[in-house]
Amino acid sequence: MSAIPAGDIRYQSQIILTDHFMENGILQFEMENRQLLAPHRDHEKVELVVGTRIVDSICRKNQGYLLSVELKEICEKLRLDVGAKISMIRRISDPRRLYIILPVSEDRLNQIALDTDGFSESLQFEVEYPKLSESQLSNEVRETLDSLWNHEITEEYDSKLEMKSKLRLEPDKKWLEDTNSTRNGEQEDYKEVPEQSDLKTFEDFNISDQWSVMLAALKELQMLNILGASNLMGVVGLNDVDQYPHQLRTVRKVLFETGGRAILADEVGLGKTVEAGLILREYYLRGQMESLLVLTPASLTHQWQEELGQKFELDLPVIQSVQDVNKFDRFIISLDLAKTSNFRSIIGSRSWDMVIVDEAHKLKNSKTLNFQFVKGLTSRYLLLLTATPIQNELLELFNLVHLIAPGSLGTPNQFRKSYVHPVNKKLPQNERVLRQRLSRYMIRNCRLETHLKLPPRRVLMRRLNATKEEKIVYESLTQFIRESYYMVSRVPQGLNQLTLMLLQKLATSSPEALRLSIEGILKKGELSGEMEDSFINLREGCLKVDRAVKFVEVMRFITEEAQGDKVIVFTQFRATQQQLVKLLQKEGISTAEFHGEMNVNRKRKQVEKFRKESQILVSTDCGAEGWNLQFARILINFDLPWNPMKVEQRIGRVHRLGQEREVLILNFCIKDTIEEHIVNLLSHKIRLFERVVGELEMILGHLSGDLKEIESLDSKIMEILVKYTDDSDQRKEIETLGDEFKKAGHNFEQVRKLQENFLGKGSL
Amino acid sequence: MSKASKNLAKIAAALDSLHEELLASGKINSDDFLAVRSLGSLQEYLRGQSIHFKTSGRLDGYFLLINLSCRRPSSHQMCRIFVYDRVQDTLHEEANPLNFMKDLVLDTREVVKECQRSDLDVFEKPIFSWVKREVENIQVNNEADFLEEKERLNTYYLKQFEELRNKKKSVFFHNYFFEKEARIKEDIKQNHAEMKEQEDLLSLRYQPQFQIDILLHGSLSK
Repeated sequence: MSAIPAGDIRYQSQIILTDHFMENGILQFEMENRQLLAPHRDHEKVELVVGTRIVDSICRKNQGYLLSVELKEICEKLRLDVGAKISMIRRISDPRRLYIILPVSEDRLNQIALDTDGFSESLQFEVEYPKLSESQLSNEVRETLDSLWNHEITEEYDSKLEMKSKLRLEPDKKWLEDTNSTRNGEQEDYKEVPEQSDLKTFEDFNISDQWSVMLAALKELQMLNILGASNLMGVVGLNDVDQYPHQLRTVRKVLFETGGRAILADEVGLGKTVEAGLILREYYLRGQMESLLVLTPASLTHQWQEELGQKFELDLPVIQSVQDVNKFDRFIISLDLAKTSNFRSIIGSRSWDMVIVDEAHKLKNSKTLNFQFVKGLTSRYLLLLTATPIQNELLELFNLVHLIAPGSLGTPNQFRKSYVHPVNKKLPQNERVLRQRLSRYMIRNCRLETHLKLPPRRVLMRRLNATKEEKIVYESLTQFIRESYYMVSRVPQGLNQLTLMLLQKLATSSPEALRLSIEGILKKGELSGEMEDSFINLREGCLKVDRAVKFVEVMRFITEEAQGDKVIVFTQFRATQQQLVKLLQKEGISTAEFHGEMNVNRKRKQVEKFRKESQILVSTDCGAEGWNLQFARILINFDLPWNPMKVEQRIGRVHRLGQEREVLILNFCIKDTIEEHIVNLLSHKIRLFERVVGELEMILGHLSGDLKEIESLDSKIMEILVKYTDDSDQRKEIETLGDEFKKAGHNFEQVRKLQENFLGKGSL
Repeated sequence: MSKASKNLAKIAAALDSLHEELLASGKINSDDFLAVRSLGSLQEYLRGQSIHFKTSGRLDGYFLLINLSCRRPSSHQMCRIFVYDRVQDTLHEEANPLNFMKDLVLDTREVVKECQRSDLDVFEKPIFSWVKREVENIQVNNEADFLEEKERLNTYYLKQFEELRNKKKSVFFHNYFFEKEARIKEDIKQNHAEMKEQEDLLSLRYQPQFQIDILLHGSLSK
């Protein structure tokens, strides 16, 4: 700034920068210099000028405070030393402005002016529509031609056709079955999927045939281009997915209307995961999804893996270690793990084609790390899955939409003013407009409108009296566990708490399975003399059980009550499963089996066997996730997992969309054992057997304290069992535990009502 | 012929018949098409294969069948055949390769490679202009969406900034003046940073991304 002529100075003042500059110096300065700070009579504000730039303006009141804010910022940025002199001048010729003269060079001043004011000047979206770069294009063309040429020389150009591709055809049998009748059985050859050894090279063909295939391939491409513009390409050929109109509508909308960024907010049980899978497959087949990040709660990572792999042929790893993040372009990871600093920095530095967040209501609060993490991801497509986009207030919905399309609902303040009721913040206003604006980014299918009603579910409890021998085994094992539970290690080495818990669960599943486990422990030879004696006694006790009561009951039910209906028997243990299968087969009952050690093909074969010929399927929990077995309607919980999620997963295999008959669930439990309390907990406190599949996860989300991690329920139950010998005490304690679930269930109901208040009862 | 090869031939036959239906009615039965496609895709057998034709005296030279697949800003695929007649020293382009190829006769003799890398140079310009034109068309169709998004984001961040700035100006009424002020400043910075991120993301989403593949190539002889 050029020097101000002395004749042009109306007021002038100087302050010296001290340590207490802000607190005292400026206040003192204000008292002494009211004239200097007073606004010009024609103006409400005084502009502050530093160097040649206007950095801000101050209003009539409290000018000293405002000036202090500006000066503090400027002095901090200039790193002015204590003792520096700051002059302020009001000119006769320009009374609107207060000139601040700082003891630094013009360059530095300009720098400061840019720093303080530059933001407002640059607050325009500067991004230009990215145009095609001609040089990039030219290189691309040249490289394509080069690659053709290089290919010819390196591969020793063959005068014949070069066909190195392997044939790999896996016909869709369902389609073939449908079309066989119209095509007079011409498809016979498709019926058997060629084994790997049967795969031949294209060279098997003569040149004319090869040309026919290539010509057909060109036709395929042409038809694909025509169809791809408005049709879904990925929905056919999925053997294990029942697709419903509302799901296809959702996929279409995401693809053709929302540009791949949407909140999928269907009511529980309408198949959000299937919708997401269909969308993924669609983008994948169109070559638009090379990188994919699926963020789920930790408890659901493997369920997602199973569903995407088995239903949509998308095999994604579940990532557990930082090293693996860079190894894969597409993977599943729990949100809690992904947001930890190590993972966050790597995941956040990549650019993703697609990000999916399951249970996205966990992003409701914009101040949380969950929200910040997802907001920081660079992703072309983004799907947020939640049945309850609003948990407490409407602003949560704003936050989710903000992740999808920032600014589409204005700023938070604008949103509050326009859509939140001024008095009751739990109610919306301008609902019609809000729904209209939301419908652009949010898809919500409601059960009522999809006309998809699940058939009723009947639940029967079979409280069985243990035989005398079974009772002895159960009681001596429980007594042994009570005595040793706190003496053994917590870590999984040698005989530890986890092993004891497992034995306790086995005791109500099958004495034979228990015996096998005990023998396994004895074989290891790690037990002390006293413990070893106890285990030997227990083993003897198991051997004395002739026929366990549950086995008798299951056989009776199948032969007398099931009336030939298909029955799924679930057990937690492989040994119990093996024993059940053996018993059923011995009785001449055709039985399929299903467990976690099988690969996908074996599982598929067993499901087919069950569908077509076997009356019974005996399955472990590991094998159950993600498979549709709704052609059966009877489910027996031979033993009950203590984790309610696992029980819900079992029910979800049969009581799901597509089930047309009443579902019967039989829970076996042995009287006067811990199992009886578990049944009460599940049925009365959690009301698990009445709920729609999918609700439980939402309820668990409302648990607090230790139970937030549902896996801790097992050890809590175990502690009750060990601590309280009296049955009524055990019941009381487990009921107290159950009250937590009841409370969480109540909270969930409140949240569900909120959705209806905000989003209405209809679909969006 | 192996069972798998027979299956392949049948898929080809099914596609042929669907294509005939398309030509006759102008429509494709999408269910039938997708059902055939679920048995397997034949497209992988096109990648860069070479084939030779007799042209009944029409042409003598080389051809390239090019596929352009555009992933961004919107997904689109198209093919085009480029033919160079070395006798006439002329270059032809055909938007419908099938139309062009239907009249060709397959040359089943052993054909000796005659082409040099420099012979391919002749294709460079026409391919370049075609791809440029197509990608630009796609971009023109998407520009309105881009501008709408840009406007929405711009309005949002500007408004957000104004709100924060006003908040900062009235902050001196607050009991915890300095803390509050520092927080607002942080919010302003974050708003700015977020805007930059959104700029990058917007740019990324509309950045043209395409791939050029040679589906088939070969010679044409009299």
